[in-house]
Amino acid sequence: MQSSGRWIASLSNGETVFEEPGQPGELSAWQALLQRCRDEDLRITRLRLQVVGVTVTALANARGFVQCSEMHRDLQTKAERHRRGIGSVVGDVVVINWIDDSRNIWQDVRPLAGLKLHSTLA
Amino acid sequence: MATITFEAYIGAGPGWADIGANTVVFCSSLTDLATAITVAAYQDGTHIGNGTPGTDQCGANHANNVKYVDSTHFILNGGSSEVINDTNLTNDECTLRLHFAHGSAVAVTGARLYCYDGSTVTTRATGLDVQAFESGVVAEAWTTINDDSGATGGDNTDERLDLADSSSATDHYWYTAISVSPETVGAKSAFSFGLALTYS
Repeated sequence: MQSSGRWIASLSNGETVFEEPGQPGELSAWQALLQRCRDEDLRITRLRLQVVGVTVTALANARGFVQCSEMHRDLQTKAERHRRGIGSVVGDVVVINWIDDSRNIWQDVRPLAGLKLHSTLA
Repeated sequence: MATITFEAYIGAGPGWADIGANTVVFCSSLTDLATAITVAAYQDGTHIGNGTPGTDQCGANHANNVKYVDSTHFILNGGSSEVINDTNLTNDECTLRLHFAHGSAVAVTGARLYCYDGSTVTTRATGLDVQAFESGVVAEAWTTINDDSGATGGDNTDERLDLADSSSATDHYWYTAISVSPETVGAKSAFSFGLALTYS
C-alpha cells in the first residue's frame, strides 16, 4: 500500500499551497514548489502533513523545510513499507516527523546532507 | 505511484526484465539452479527461480553471474578473474538492475541495498557472506553487506551498499553485482535483500 495524504505549505507571500497529484512526466508537486520558491524568491513559513486523518506540523522558524517519502521493498517476498515525513532544518540536521499507513507517528533526526535534495535549501 | 522492481539481464535478447514474483537463486552452476554452493566458496551461477529454488525462469539467457574473487576482483560467467571497476564490469554485465519509477519526476536520496534475515531489516542474514558492488559510480572494490560470523549485515550504516543519489526523473536505475557464499552447510532460509530509498 502506498502512503496517501498530502502536504500543506504556507508561503511567505501569504499563499497556502496544497499538494496535488503530480502530472505524468512533470516535476512532482514538492519539486515544483521548491523550483517555484527559487524562481520567485519565496520561502515556506509553515509546513504540515496530513495522512489518514492525522496532521503533523514541522517545527516553525526553521532554516529550511524537508518533505519526503520512504519506500522499502523486499526482493524475495516483494513486501513493501511506505512512510511520509516532513521536517525542519536545524543547524546541520533535519528534525523529521514520520507517519506510516498504520498511523504510527515518530520523530527522527537525520543529517541534512542526506536529505538536502528534498529540502528548501537544495 | 511509486514502484520498485528488481530486474535481471535475461531472456532472448537478453535484456533487463522484471523478475516479478520470482526470486534470485545463487547456486554452483551456470545452467542448473539446483546445485548447492560449497561452504566458503562463492556462487558460480545466478538464476531466476519460481520457488526455493523452483524451476529456472531465466529464459534463453541466464542471469549474469558475477563471482567475488577478492575485494577488488571478480569473475563474470565463468571467465577469468578481472579487476572490478566500471570498465571491466559494464552495466549489462551486472546481476541486478534496481529500478525505482514514479509517475512524476522525483529526486531520490539514501538508496541502499541491504541483506537481512527476511524478518527484521536491521538483522543480518544467517550463515552467509555477501558482497555487493554498484556499477557506474567509479567504485573499485566490493562492499561486504553480510558476514554472519563477523556480525555484519542488515540495513545498518556501513553494513549495506549505499547507492548513488539521483536528481529529478521518473525512472531511476542502479546497476549492482551481488555475490554470495555460505558459511555453513544447508539451504539458507533466513536470507533476503531489500532496497530502501527516500524520494520527493
